[in-house]
Amino acid sequence: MDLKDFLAEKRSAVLERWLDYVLQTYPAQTSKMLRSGQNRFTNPVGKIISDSLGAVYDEVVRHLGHKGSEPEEDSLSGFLENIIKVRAVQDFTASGALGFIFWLKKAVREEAEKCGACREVPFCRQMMEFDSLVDRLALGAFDFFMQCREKIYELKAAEVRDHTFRLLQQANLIIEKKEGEHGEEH
Amino acid sequence: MAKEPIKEELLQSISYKAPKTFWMDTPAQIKPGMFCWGAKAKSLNVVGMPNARDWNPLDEDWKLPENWQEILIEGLRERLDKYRSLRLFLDICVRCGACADKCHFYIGTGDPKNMPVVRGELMRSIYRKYFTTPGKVFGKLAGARELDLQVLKEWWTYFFQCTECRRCSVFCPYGIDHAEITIAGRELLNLLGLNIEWIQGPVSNCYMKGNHLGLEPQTIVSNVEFMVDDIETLTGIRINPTFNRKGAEILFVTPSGDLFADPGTYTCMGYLMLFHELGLDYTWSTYASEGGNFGFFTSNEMAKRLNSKIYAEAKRLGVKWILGGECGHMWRLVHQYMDTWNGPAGFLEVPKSPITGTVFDNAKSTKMTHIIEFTADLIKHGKLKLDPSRNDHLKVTFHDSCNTARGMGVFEEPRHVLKNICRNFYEMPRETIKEQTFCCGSGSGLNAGEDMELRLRGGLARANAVKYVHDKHGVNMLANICAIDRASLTTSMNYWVPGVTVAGVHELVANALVMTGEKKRETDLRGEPLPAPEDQTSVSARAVAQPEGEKAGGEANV
Repeated sequence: MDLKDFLAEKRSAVLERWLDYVLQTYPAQTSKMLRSGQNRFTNPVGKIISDSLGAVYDEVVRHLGHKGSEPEEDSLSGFLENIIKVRAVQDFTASGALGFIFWLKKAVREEAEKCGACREVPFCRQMMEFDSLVDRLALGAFDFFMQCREKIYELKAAEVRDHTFRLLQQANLIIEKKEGEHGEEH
Repeated sequence: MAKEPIKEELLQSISYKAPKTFWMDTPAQIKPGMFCWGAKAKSLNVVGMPNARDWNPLDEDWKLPENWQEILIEGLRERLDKYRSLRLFLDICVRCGACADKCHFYIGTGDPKNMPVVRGELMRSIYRKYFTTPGKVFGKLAGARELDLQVLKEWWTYFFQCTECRRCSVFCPYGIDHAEITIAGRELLNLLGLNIEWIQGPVSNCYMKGNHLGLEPQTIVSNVEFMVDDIETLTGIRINPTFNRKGAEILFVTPSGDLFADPGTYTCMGYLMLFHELGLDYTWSTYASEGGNFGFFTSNEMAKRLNSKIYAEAKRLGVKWILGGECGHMWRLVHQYMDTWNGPAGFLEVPKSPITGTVFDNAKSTKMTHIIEFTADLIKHGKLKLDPSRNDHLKVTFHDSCNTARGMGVFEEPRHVLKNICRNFYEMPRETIKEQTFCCGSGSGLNAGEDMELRLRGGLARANAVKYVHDKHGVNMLANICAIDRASLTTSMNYWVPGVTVAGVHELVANALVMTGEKKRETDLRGEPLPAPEDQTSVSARAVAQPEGEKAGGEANV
């Protein structure tokens, strides 16, 4: 069986497994809450997780067997940005926040094993390509995760500056203003 | 030969699954980014708070007084006797869980102890153990537990992970107000000197100097004069506000954040321009120079002490009534507590707009009116000349501050103002505004730098709704009427929804306000160029400002 067809056919089963693994990183009560209801405003984290996994899955499938995929590299991890933004501020280590990406491999293999598809040679060959797509996804995700963390430190520094900007300005202690900063002449 | 690692063992040692222990057996973890530094001895001593000492939340030893358990239990007994609401809230919760997923901190952190019901249980379990017969007899079986150091640290962690926003209370079938439990919890912690410095520092400054930052009178005056210079550059009009002027009709009190921190300063310029245009007989005070009251996040008594300066100053200056600026918790205090603490202010008159003649009966007892009510009344009576096209470069949405919305029911006034001063106004979904509004994530004295991760987690739910209108309608301005919102949402938007800036409503009022004798405006208050006339006319009609959720089967419910 062709891997691409398999992934299309088993989309909901694989996604369900993958979602399970992601939700297991939260306490039991929370995982239940995140799964319940899909109102994007009252359950934003649950909705962001399930939407992101679905979008990434579809994007990976789209890239499979697509030789000229290099120019679109950015778009692959772009679909993970929403979920990573959330997990970058939640109570995870870097590996804990991003580890879920690799569990897509696990979810696909478990589902393939169930129906025996993984024993077919072409399938196995395609799995190598699939694995490398997931690895690329993880590398892009790590870059974005670092951007989020750096942003948090930037925000801390910006608050300190903004809290006292006017006072420093009055005391003529501001000697240089970068583009986009508050306090331009007005 | 070295033993080869066993694959299964290696895998087992790496686990990202959350612990499955019962909540009572899961100790609180005090982690950097999630807490604020402990109150310093010098800040506590200024106002005579007990057990003042320097301490570090990360240390094992919190240098507690030897009889700390006794102090806490007796403190709880005293409050149970004093506040019937507290005893009731501790008694009647049936743990139905209706509140559980309504808390922005629970939504953002996923930590079950941030469910309001569990945060309540932190105190309830102690209440049961020491004040109820089943708890004394059956202990853990009856949901009771001993007060030990682990419990104390848990209290400190989670009572400072609640912004007292009261969203959970809207959904509680019994009407339990979990903010009251947090307030009581913080009061009890204060008996042991366990406040946070981000609250205690401003309390001490406010007590000594009249405002959170400890700005002295000359600094306040020069800050306002600095804004007056900016206004002159913008409009060509020189404004001459007065300070501590006896005999003025109105005393104006606003949060001090408006005086020195962007973007609040633009809101403050808005007040100055509006009052000048109206020719209002008002004065600033350099003593009652803080509308906010961090004493409220410390203890009832401290809040009362800090609040008293407003009436004292009104009396000293001989004004007729008090007008208050855009603030959040300030208004919950004015509306719900001030009158019983320091009122009734019989020496003042019921606020009456000198421009429209409207009498603000809702402030009959406190004698203090919110500026958004005052301005909405002016617009309703057509007393302001407005050019909303000056805000055409902005697509605006409105964040209801928890305290003005749930604390005093201000829903329509800011919307009435906004719809008259800008032509592109879009509501966020119904589940996230008005009485259901989500907190900014930084209220009740938690808007420090060191707890940034907590704030970003807490701000997720609000930001998520802003992102929706940003993506759908291109919203680029988040208006609000709260000083803490102005500071904290700016940061939250920077992380969650880049491209959205934050402003007080009166900044936008001033953008649109056509002042008598003004020169042609080239920029808005922030120095951003105003849209060219051709751009202005391209806006065909004012955007319809319907909450998304009010449309039947609307997208808000997907």
